[in-house]
Amino acid sequence: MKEFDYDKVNRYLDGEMNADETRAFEEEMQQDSGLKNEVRMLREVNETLKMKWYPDENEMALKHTMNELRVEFFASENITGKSTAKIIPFRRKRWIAAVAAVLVMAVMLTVWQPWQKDLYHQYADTQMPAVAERGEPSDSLLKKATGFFNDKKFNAAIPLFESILKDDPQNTFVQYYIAISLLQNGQVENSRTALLQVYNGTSLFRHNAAFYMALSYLKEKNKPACKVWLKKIPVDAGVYDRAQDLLKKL
Amino acid sequence: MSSQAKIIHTDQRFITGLLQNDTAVVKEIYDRFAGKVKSYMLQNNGSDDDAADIFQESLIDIYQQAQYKGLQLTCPFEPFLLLVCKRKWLNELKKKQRQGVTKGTEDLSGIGEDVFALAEQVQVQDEKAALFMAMFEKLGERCREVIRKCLGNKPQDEVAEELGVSYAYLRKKKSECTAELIKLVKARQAS
Repeated sequence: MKEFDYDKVNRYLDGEMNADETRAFEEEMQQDSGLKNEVRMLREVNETLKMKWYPDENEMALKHTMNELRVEFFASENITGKSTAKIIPFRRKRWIAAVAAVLVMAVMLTVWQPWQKDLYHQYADTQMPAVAERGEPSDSLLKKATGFFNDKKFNAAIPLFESILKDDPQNTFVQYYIAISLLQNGQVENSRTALLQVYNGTSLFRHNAAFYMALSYLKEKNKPACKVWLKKIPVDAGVYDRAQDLLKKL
Repeated sequence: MSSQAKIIHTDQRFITGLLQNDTAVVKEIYDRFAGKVKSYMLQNNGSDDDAADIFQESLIDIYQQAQYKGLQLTCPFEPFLLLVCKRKWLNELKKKQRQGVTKGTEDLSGIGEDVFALAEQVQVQDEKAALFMAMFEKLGERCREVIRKCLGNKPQDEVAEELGVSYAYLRKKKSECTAELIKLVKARQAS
């Protein structure tokens, strides 16, 4: 097989040739279809790898949006209350008494909830979506961190998140999940600092951050502060339903 | 491709929504289509998680095709998206060599040629990317590092500095590594 001068090809594709060199190289390609093919192939490989490794900002933003929606639309055991809390309309009068009795019991049990561990865990436990593409190397920090997070090994996840943030301090996705890890790990103050950073930014995660701010107060049984944060979450936010759900239970 | 005057479907707005990360449009996409993909996946050996992955990855594929390859919608979005998701999942199943594929037989009636052509385009690109990535993974550690860094958005002399080598050495190493990568890709494509 013919060997090509890859240094030349690279310099051409990287735009590192001067005008004369470029002209000469392009002429060479006209004469040599093999070389032309080679250049086309390498360009395609480069563009594709680059696209996979270095997504533009819009793509990152889109991934964030999708990660939020993922919980709402695909999670099987999350607590949106949507699927379980359907209200069935009863029309027949004679049922009302029976229904009322059941409701009274239900309300009492909801208030007592003798079996329930605690509201905090019911709402705070979450799974981190695998944001990395399948093509990512399996040892990527984010993949490892996601694994630890989902196994609730927050002690192990936190330092990994930290090193990702060192290279990419604006990564709100990681900021958000490090905040949850800190909270789950009992480092409430540090968690709030991280959550506030997300909340005060323009990130798509800001309303989710507000939700976890609320949970951080719930964890300390500070219900008034918890409610304040829940009420900050607007109707169009993905976590609105969960926030309302929790507000009702408080 | 672009020389022909193609009629852009009004559903192009979904693509634009993805490109601009318009959250209302993205949410609409989930609202309208996530359920369908999910039920297809659940019928075909998939889990909720698989469904979420496939849906998300398909949308990213479409985003990338639109952003970098000028994909424009000449057909309705729904059958196109569903076909992209299905093919992606079939491909996954093939890789995992799981059995019992496609229970929900495709209703192909009323699906235009454009839908197939566009879905095909996305799939071909997706498979190419997977191939390039797999061949890249076969390279030695140093080559992987060099190529990955060189494709980043930093000037090459800064990359050299970061790797602790001279600019001339980086060029030489990069040539070797790209030659190796292209050789691997060619060998695989020929097989």
